[in-house]
Amino acid sequence: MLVFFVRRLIQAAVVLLVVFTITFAMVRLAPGGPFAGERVVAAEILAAQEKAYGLDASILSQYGRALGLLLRGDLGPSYVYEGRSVNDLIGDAFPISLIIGFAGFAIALLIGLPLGVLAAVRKNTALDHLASGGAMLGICLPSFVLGPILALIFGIRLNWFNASGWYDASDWFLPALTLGLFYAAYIARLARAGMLEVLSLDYIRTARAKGLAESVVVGKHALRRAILPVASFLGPAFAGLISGSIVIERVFQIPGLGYHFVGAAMNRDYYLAQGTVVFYALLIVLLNLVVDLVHAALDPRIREKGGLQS
Amino acid sequence: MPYLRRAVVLVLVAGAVLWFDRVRSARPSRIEQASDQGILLVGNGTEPQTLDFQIATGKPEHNIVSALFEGLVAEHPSDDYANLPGVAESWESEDFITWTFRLREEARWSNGAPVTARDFVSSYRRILAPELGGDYAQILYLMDGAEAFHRGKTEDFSQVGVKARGDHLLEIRLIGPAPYFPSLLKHYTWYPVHAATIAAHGSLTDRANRWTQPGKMVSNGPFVLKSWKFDHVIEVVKSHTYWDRERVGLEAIRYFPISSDTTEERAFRDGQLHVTQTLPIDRIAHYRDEQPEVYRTGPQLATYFYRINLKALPELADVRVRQAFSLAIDRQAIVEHVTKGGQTAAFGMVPPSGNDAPYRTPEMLRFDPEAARARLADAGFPGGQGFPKLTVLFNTSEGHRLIAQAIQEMWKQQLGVEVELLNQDWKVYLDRTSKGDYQVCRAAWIGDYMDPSTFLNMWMTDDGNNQTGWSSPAYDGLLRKAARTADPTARFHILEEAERILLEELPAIPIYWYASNRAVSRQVENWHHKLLDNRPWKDLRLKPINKE
Amino acid sequence: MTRGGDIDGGFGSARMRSTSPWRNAWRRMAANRLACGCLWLLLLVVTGCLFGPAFLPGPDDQNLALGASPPSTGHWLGTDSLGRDLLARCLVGGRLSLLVGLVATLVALVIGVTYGMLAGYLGGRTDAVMMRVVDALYGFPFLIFVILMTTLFERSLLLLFVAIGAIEWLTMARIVRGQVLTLREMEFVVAAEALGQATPRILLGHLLPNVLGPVIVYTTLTVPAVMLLEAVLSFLGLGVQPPDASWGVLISEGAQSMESFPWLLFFPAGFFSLTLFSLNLIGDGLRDAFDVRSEK
Repeated sequence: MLVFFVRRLIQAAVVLLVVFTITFAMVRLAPGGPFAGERVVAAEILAAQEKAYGLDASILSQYGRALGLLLRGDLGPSYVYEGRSVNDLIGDAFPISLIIGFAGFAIALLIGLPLGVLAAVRKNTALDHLASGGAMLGICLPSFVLGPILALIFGIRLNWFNASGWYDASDWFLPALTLGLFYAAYIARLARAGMLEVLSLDYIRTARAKGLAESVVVGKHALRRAILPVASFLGPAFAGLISGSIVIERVFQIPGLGYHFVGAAMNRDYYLAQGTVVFYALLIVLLNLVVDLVHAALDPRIREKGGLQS
Repeated sequence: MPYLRRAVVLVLVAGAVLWFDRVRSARPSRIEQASDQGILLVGNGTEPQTLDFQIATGKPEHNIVSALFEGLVAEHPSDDYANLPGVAESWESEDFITWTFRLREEARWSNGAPVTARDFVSSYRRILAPELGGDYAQILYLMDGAEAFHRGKTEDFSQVGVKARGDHLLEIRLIGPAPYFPSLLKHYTWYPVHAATIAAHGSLTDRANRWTQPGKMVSNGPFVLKSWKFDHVIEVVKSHTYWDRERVGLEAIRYFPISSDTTEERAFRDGQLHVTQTLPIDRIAHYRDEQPEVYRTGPQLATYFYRINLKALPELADVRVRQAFSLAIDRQAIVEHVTKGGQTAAFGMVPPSGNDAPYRTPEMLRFDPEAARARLADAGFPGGQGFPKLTVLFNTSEGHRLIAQAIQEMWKQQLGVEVELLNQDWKVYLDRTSKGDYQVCRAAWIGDYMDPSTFLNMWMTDDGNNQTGWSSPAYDGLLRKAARTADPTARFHILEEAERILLEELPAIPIYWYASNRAVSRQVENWHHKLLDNRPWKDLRLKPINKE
Repeated sequence: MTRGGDIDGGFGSARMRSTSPWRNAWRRMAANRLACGCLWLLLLVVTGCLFGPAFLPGPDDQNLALGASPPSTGHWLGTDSLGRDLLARCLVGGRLSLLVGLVATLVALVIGVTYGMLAGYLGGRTDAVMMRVVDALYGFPFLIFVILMTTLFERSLLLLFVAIGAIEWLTMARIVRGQVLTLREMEFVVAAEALGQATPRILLGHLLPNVLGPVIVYTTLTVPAVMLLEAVLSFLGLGVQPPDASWGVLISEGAQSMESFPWLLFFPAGFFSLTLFSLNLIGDGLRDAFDVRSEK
């Protein structure tokens, strides 16, 4: 087990380095620098700005410097938000995205899983079609449509929540709901498919034949295997959820992480772009590790052979 | 029995929803609470990149900085032309070249120190320091020697035309006569900074110096910085050291960076904002018709235009082609049906600034498809035949896209010229325009001060913002002559003559002049529309809701 | 495992090897009225998108004075803010959306299934390396990736396919690999290996049919996901170039003015949802049809 972890950690470090290097190259290759603005400034002034941030150095020495900072856990300064470090920016935004992402995740699971399982157990009944149809609707409505609709209904018409902003303890709800409904639809469909698959397997038939109650068969025997495809999806989905969504953040005016992903690349805020990508990659790598562990826990056969030895 | 159980559950759920509705929907709105406390809630566009105004470039930054700092000359609540005394009690100049400002003795920094003439000298020294790389320092180039110092041609600041003659007497020497100079001083680049405070937090010219953080910043305006929550809110509160604190009508202002106009409008309807930054195009009609009491609109000192790169295609170097393009644009249709926010169809480059404005923009642009076709035929392309396919570059935005599509269609319909649209993200767009890698591109220019030169200087041959490859010795000569002319009337005549050349040659085709559209809640008093949208925050008042 | 499992597993593998499952599947599919109805609906939409615009005003013909107008006899679905016929724009936009959805999904499908099956079947070190590559690619936030791609290359449809396809195959590969990891321990695969069958034969003959269920379901999820991604890109202004429009562009434009001109959101979203809905129900039908074990 320990060997497994160490090996995975080394692999993670390699993944991070690759991701970092590619992003470093890509943001610097993109046309337009961080200090380009609507008004053209004299070349001397642009040079002074670039010098102030070490952008006049060779690309290799810039890479070395950025890597050196990264190894010390410092993601560097932001070029666009003067006087702020990337660590600060991510540190401020991530907790907020984490709250909303986690809540969205919980909502997605709470709605999606029962809906999917129910649809599978009552396959081809009105309930199945209703659940599947509802799930489809969730997938079909982009969040930039669903979000404003929820804000108009619950924020303005009913006045139950703030239509936008990050003021009160209840402000996580609407953004999380918007996020969660989308993922719930996915989970419901994957769970339904997984469940149908499993319900036809021999050991379930055996369990049924033994005369076990249907709820026990479904809840105890089938569910474990049925959510395997769901689990594969959940890892990256969770990372996607907690790293924020620019669309949701714009619609609900949330100071989260999602904006930085897009904003940094758009503004050519080199360190911020690198920093957010490395941070995201780190999240993904960690969550994938968790998914593999969960997979192993759910499916004993992987644990015995194959999976974890990798 | 199961039916009974279901009924009980149903009743309980319905009861819970009703109770929840009762509790939540009765919450007081945020503006109600804030109005009672004298706190103004303002939608402010995007998150400020910095509050160090000597390196700032944007409007959101300006809105906050102008509450925190005060320059020599102050803004009037409604009149764009009026120059009210700020830190300077009075000023005088005989030749419009050398100006003397008498500073008021009661002016104080927020740490209690007096604001002196030396503060201004050290401020201008800092903003002009090449190492700082201040983008807008160019506005100070009117000051003698400023450009040479800023561009690193000299390191001797005593060559620059600013001198402290005693604690409260400041002398500024310009490169030529500028009767409009006091109006220019309202621009934030001329505000003072407290150099000692900046130095205490690091290098004076370090762009990343953290002196602008709450608790560190020392300012001299009607408000002081209280808190800055990134991407969420910036709060400024009334200063206790400001010389005119009796007149400050608000206890605090909170600026919310809301970049999406639809989100901002929902926030306004939800009672979260007193004032919005803008309004979504499709909601303007609703506010105009249904809520005229909160709808505020008016012209802005800004021009939307299409640049033409004379170097990109030989066809574009032909003035008749450019004139044909201009004549084929139905500007009235664009402002009425596309932008729909009270914009004005442009008949020149310089936006008109009020009915009694001293400068008259020549009315030269019109929509005339017949003449356009004739002009294009003159140039050798009757019916657009043989004209190469044109690419119009614009940066990604819903508004730019609609306008580009409308113009694409007009040029195709009226001239038979095929146009391809190319939208690029902001930085790529900037990169391409500054390198001259475009044929036609959308652009806009916002006036910095109340004078036509802010729209005309950029078209001189060597100006970095020209970017069209257009060069007219006659035009350059007129502008240089205007810069040496002290008499305002004579000067405006020269500038008008220059603008006529510009509109005849059309290196850029003006489309429309901007208008601002916003919602301002009824609690806000003394809010007036302004051409430059520069607001003296100290004059605003809030009336509590219960007094209505 | 019970003895019954052994027999059933053997039976299953016998079924897999024959060619009849495809025909059987088709029969089962034809019997599924809902799925068939959706197939017809999808055909109708596709036909409408392909041939409809020929009978309508041009999708780029503007009428600025008319502006955004509600549905009328002249314009069945109304007009957009530049006075363009919304029905024509929806149909022409549909071509683009369907193209993006299908091509990008196909790219994702082929790469993802091949990669996932190989990784899952070969296992061990190969699997580990292959999955770490997937992890590394996962590590790129999609939006940054696309933004940088659009700045580095000229924006084009091809770029959109590549960018979206390159992202979407990752999840497919993970799901397939997870399935194969379980399947290859099953009796019929072990038996096939014991009989000395060649790897490609095992992959195609035994494993592929058994992962088809989840793959089809995930594919039907990928098509909407791809079309949605395209919509989000359009929302951020990174989608297709105007005046071309996709459903994503139309929806994001409509969402901007949903309170004033609801039809601008409603109709494109209707087309979009109807298509995705059909695709999904067809997917469900296919899944059930291919799933030999679901017969009771």
